[in-house]
Amino acid sequence: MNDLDDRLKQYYHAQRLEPSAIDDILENSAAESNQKSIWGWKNRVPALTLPALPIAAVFAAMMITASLFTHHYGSQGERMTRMLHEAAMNHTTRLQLEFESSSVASINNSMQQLPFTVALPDEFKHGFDVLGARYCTISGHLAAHLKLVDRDSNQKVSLFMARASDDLSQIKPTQQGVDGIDVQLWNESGLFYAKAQSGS
Amino acid sequence: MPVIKNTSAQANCDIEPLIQAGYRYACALQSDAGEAQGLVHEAWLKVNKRYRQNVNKALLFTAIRNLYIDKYRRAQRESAYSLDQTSDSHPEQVGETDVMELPDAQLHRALLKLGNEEREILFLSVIEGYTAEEISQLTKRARGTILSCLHRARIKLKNCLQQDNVIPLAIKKTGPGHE
Repeated sequence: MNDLDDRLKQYYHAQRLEPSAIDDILENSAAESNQKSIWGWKNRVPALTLPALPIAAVFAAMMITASLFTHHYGSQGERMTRMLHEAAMNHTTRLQLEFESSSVASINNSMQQLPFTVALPDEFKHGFDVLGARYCTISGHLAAHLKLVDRDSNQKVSLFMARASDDLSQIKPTQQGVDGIDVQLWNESGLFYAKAQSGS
Repeated sequence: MPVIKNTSAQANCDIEPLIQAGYRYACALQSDAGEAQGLVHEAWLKVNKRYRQNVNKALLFTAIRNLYIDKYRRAQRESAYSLDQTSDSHPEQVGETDVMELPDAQLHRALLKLGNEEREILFLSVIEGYTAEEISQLTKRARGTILSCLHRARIKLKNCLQQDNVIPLAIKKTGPGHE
């Protein structure tokens, strides 16, 4: 060991922090350790969160399922309500028929834009006269609006039909009055039907 | 021989010597005592928060060094001083009053004439007893650079002390074999 090294050692070893300064550092260190941070969740995991994790997971799964269930049926309910109103409104409008014919086959040949074959449901095969048809939409789907006359009551009846797509095929058979119009929704033979007529 | 690798957890009774060692290292980097105290304080809080009971000298020194570099770079952006500049133009150079309060004011003045890097390496070698290999790991510099820097620091310190009419010192030969 040479003199310079000894002298350097003496010099540096003479440089010491005061005990009060050390205390300050340790106090601040302890205070920081005890400080509960919003993001310091890792420190609390063993004590609180870890046993609660399975419960939290089950609760979260239930909430998600409930949310999806509500969303699914809520949207279907909304869609059905919208379709009931669409059918009632279309029935009451005085829009011109684009294709006037008493033959369903003729109407079907004329309405080339439709992605399905126009066909009357069983209920309408007897006791109704076809007046004609026009294009319309039901819940965003291209549809046919046929106007018929009930021979017994001489009442005009609107029959809407569209291809039973995924969302329309899920509509449950419904009958409801909307603004004095009796509206009926159902699926039959791969087609979605809506019938609207003035309430009796 | 001291080991730079991480060691076992420090007991409470070992904390004070550890902080004192950190303070001395901070003094080697930072000539102002107040700044050095702030540096070791901040570094201790940082490593203690992260490593808790596993804080050791290597971790503390690394934290001090990183904080010092960050601080130095900030200061450099403001005043364009260089890390390798001698402290003649260094903003942290202490005043005459501070020098006179030190036990070895002449050595203090001589040390201030060394570059920061030279002073740091000299401290790690002489005071902490680290080998050139260990210093190269800590400072992330080549071992050869450490050895040449150490040699240069000793020569420079000897010349400074001689110019300051201090008793001539027998400077130990340094070279690749000496660690």
